[in-house]
Amino acid sequence: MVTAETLISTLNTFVEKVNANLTLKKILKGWSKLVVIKTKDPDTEATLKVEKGTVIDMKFEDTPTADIILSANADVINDIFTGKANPSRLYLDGTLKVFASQKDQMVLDAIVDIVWK
Amino acid sequence: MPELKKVLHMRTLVAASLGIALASSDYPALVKAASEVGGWAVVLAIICAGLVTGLVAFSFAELAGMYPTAAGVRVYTKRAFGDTASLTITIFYVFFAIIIASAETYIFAAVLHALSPALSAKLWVIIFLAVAVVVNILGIEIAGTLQDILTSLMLTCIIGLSLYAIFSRHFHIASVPFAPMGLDGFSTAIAAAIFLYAGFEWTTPLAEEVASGKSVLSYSLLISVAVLTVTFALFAYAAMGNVPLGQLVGTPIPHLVFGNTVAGRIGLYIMAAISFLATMSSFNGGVMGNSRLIYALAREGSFPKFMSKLHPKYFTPWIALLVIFSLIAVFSISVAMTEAFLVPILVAASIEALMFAIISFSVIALRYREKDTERVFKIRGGIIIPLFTGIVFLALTLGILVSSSKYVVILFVVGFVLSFLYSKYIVPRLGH
Repeated sequence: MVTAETLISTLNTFVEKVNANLTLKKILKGWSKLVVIKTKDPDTEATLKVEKGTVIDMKFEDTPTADIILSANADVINDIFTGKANPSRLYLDGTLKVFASQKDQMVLDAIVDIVWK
Repeated sequence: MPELKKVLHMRTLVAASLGIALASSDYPALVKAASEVGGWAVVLAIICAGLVTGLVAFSFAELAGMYPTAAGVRVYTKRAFGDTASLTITIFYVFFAIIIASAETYIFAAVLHALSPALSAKLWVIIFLAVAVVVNILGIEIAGTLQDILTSLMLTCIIGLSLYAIFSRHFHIASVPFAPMGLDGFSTAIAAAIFLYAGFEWTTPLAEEVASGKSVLSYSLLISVAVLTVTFALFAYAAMGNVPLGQLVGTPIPHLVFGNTVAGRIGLYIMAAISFLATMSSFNGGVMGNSRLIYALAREGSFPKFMSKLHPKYFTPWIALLVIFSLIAVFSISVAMTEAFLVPILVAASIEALMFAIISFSVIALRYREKDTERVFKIRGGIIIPLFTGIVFLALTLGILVSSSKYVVILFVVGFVLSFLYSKYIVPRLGH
């Protein structure tokens, strides 16, 4: 079972990878969003503030509103952000729930795909 | 749980649902339904189709509340019936979207040809698809307030012209027989009328943009079905009372014939404008949504990986879009060459009826398989309503196939068998 500490570490590593990726920086230059990642078992909530393709802030506290909300069990989220699981497969069997506009969902999927390519 | 900053509200959901369902190809489908009964009993057939479709809307609402996802059919059926069955159904549903888009393309091309006869319908098909593919790759979407305005405009024009026709001195419904073909054709008329509602459920993906997936979506689907029923029933009544059925049958543009008969050139241009708006909004929701479904299936590993390529600037699945548009072009040019426009309409109607049955049975299966999953909306009365709609829509599917030409049956069977064979034998070999 994934602990809250593991999850925080996973997300930190992922954020570092996103911020260091020049391809993402280029294609996301106009993309500024507030992304919430909500997990169960254990219950955690991470909020990532993205400004022009760069994650400028990540905090672990409740956020009232967001542009994108991801919701799943902690082990599922951990597998996605460590590149072990295919997010599309999890999304298509209902394990991962994504609340966002259709376009933002595509962007999010592209980010995960590019980071773990 | 946090809320989305930007959520969709009831009015926009209804507008989006109506925008997809109100299509140019609805009018030949409506005339097909009328020809089955031979008189204005078609109004009753539309109301019956509306009632059963309204009941199936409950099933969509329950499933969308459980799994708010853009890949609705894939998720619901995978949970209910397993992977291979689900993939077969999903690919068949994509086939349905391509067939319906082909019919829509040809009908709209026929409208443009009627306005500008110098260019053939085939050429208009190519011009329209070329423009549509660029618009879709650029990711230009009709959404929010614009969708509200366009849908309201369409409804106002259709209802306004229908009322004008009903209250005109040429309206002679008293001399039009009710159902000269008898009740034998009534069930086929209901089945054909199901096409009028095709795509109303394609707003379930928007559950991801509705405030916490509350039952707003459920009610929006019901309102959409009710508005479609009233609009088409009114149009059918007006058309039957103003234009002899013989003049409407056999043409891909009966709505233009109606407009011209009722209000001359102005009526013709109003119906052409309605057709333009209807095709734009249907294409916008339908094709874009399906291209994203193909993209997700390719990312999942069910379609070849190259289909998951995203445009680096517009984030649109451009390869998936090119694949969809190529298939639409093949089918719509075939329709333009043969002028057999009722074939794709009836194939689409039969697939849609089958999908409605499958969705109903999915609700029943998940009631047993996933008793404890949270349901934002739950159909009351146990499994009675989904069981009823499942059986009705299965019967309607068979009804369409039995009463249609062999080409309809062949396309339906070939589409289904290929979807199954692909899911069963090709997908496991893709290995990614």
